[in-house]
Amino acid sequence: MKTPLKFVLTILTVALGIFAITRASDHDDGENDMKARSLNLTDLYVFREKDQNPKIVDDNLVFVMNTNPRSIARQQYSFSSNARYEFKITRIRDKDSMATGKIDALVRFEFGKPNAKGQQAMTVTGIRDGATRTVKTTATGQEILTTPLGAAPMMNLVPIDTAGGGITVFAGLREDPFFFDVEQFFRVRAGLAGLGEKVGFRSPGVDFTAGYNVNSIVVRMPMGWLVSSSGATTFDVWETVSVPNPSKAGDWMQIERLARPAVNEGLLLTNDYLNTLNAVDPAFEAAVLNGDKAAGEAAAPIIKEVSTVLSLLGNDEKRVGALLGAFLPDVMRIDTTGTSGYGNALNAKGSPIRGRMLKDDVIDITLSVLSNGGVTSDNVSYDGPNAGGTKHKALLGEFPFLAEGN
Amino acid sequence: MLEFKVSQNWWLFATAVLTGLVAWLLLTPRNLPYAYPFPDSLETRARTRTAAFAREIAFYQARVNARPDDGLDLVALAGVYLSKARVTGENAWFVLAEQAAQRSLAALPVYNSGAHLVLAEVLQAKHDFVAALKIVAKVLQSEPRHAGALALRSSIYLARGDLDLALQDADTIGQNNPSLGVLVLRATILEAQGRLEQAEQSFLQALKLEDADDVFASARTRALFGRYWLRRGDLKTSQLLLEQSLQIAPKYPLALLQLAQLELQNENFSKAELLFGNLRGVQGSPSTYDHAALLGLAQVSTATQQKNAPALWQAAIAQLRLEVRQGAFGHQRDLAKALLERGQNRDLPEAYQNAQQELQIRHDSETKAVLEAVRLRCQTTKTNCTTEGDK
Repeated sequence: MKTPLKFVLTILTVALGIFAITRASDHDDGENDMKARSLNLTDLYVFREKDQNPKIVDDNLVFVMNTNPRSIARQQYSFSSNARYEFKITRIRDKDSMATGKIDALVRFEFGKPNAKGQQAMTVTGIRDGATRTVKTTATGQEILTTPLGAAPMMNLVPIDTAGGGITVFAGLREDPFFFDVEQFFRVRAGLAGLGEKVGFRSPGVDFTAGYNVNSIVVRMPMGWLVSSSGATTFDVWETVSVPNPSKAGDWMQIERLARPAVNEGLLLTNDYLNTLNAVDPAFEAAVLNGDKAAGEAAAPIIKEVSTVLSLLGNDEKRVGALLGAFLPDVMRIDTTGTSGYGNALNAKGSPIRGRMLKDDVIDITLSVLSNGGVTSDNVSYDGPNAGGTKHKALLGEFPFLAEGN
Repeated sequence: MLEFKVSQNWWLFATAVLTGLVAWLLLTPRNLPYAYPFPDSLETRARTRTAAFAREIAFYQARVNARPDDGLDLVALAGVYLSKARVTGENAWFVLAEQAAQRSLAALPVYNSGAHLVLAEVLQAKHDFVAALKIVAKVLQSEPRHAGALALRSSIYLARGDLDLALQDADTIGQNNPSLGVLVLRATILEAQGRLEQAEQSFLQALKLEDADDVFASARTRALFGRYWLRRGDLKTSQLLLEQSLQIAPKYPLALLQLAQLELQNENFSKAELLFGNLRGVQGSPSTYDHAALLGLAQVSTATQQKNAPALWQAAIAQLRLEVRQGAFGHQRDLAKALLERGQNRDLPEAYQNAQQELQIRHDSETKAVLEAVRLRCQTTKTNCTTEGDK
């Protein structure tokens, strides 16, 4: 058990930096009237299907993009019919190599207008090695549809592979699987920064997402489609949301990007920098780390701020450099040769490389890594019981896995 | 001869049908560039929206009851109250929003910009622009590009007449986030600057980014675009937009008010009277639209030479005086205008004083015009409107 002093000191290092902006994560963006909730990303999950459902023998990857934070119970919400929601993927030959941000494959989702039941038709576009295939109907010729709240999950088998293969797509409201005692984290940080009473984490902690839903896009993708003829077994994944550029017809503006949890939001104090990162791809960060002069100049203040935050977290110069290399460029790397799980394996740079499962305690893992093991838990878990007896619903045993919406 | 007549009539008939068809096509909202893009879900949403508000409030109230010291739940509740206040204009929702935000700040005094911004917006609604700006500045100090804070500051600048500053903030938000909200804000600023072509363009761009879930943003956009055309004298376009706004959000007071003013301008006095009456009756409790409804009724009564005109003017002015005296949601410029419009010389010193005081907090062209009009009337009627302090 930690001594109180050590506990306070370790909390201080974390409290000063990691979530120094007023949002806990993208989950709080939804209250901003300047941006529709439907355009806000909350989380990305990528895992091997067989690690979530042992009955599965096929080599499939499951991608989950969650949007529309703080969707309240029993309320139908829509995906934006103006936006493009995209998974972007790089094939990686060496799991220890730096992410490049090169897009080898992309899957795009565009939504039609909701009907009277709140159901929306989808257009799915697969782009692989420059070849594009846009699909509006399932393999059986039906419309690709979202699942309205309360209805049984609609599994859309979408033939994005000209060779006859396809992906399975679910889109609709699900219970938000994320968990974190964000408010206590704010109190802890305030206390240790001299702005309020000194407190530690509660036990059990309050799970601030309990009872909320998110609008999820869940995709089951056969490895074969991703690998093609490359033989790759590792992939970098990130997700984005783009909207039409009102000043230039036909152009799209990327307004959201997300990969690893708490990286963009956690390591940056200044919203300007967060907005900058939301608008670019991991290739930008890769160019910076590779010494590209123009990118370096543009990113210098961002890198400086991230370094400062990491220093405040108690990391020496060498470890700051190592962590920068580990967490940037911001992608979710998944080495499919091993069991999926955010903390299951790190590569030579210290980057998590086994994707992210739905119940992974990414906050505890991130706190622990960035504080060099100083802080291990906010005392909140998926299964609970968290403060007030809250817990998340049991996951489904099969695709789309996420629990039904509240 | 007969054959010619038949032929002539046939052509007349065909021309009439064709003209009617073209008119129908042109006037059918679905065919206009600003037709509501989610007609299929409109009925359901219109039916369930009030219930959704109630559900949202109940949801957060239950969370707050379970954990009364949860700052995040309290600020979320404050946000819902504020949304309700924006939509209805009812003062009570502003008060509830303010109280919930204050409780949130008591529970979570730092890293709580959301609660600060709720308080700032309530102050803005009370026209306490200086205090609102102070709070916004504090938020922007720690988060220089907070879209909500920038939007609020922009709208305060707009209200005060600092149009270049307002546009600068709106453009900053738009660079990263070209949303419907920021494009509408931009349109209203450009309109105030007299850059009408750009304003119209911005309204049209906003309408391309509508979100099915935010029906009130769609209704508000059409109400403001309708107001834009009303001010430009295009009553037909204005009416279509305002009626669409009310179709999306029935009884939406902002659209109701503009439509009532349109009918007044169109000299459809009975319709105007009905709409102003509806606006007065929409809210069950005091609202920021009360004085506008009473003023409208007074204007109609004067235009139609009703016997009760003096009483209606008295009621409107009493309401405005009350609001100004209470310091809550007061509109000194509107009071000055009402006093001027009532046409009694004895009101002029009070009108002058109110217009001058309003000019101290907002130096936009409308306030300046009101003060100038009062000053002119004081001169032409040889009324001493200035006090010792003014000399």
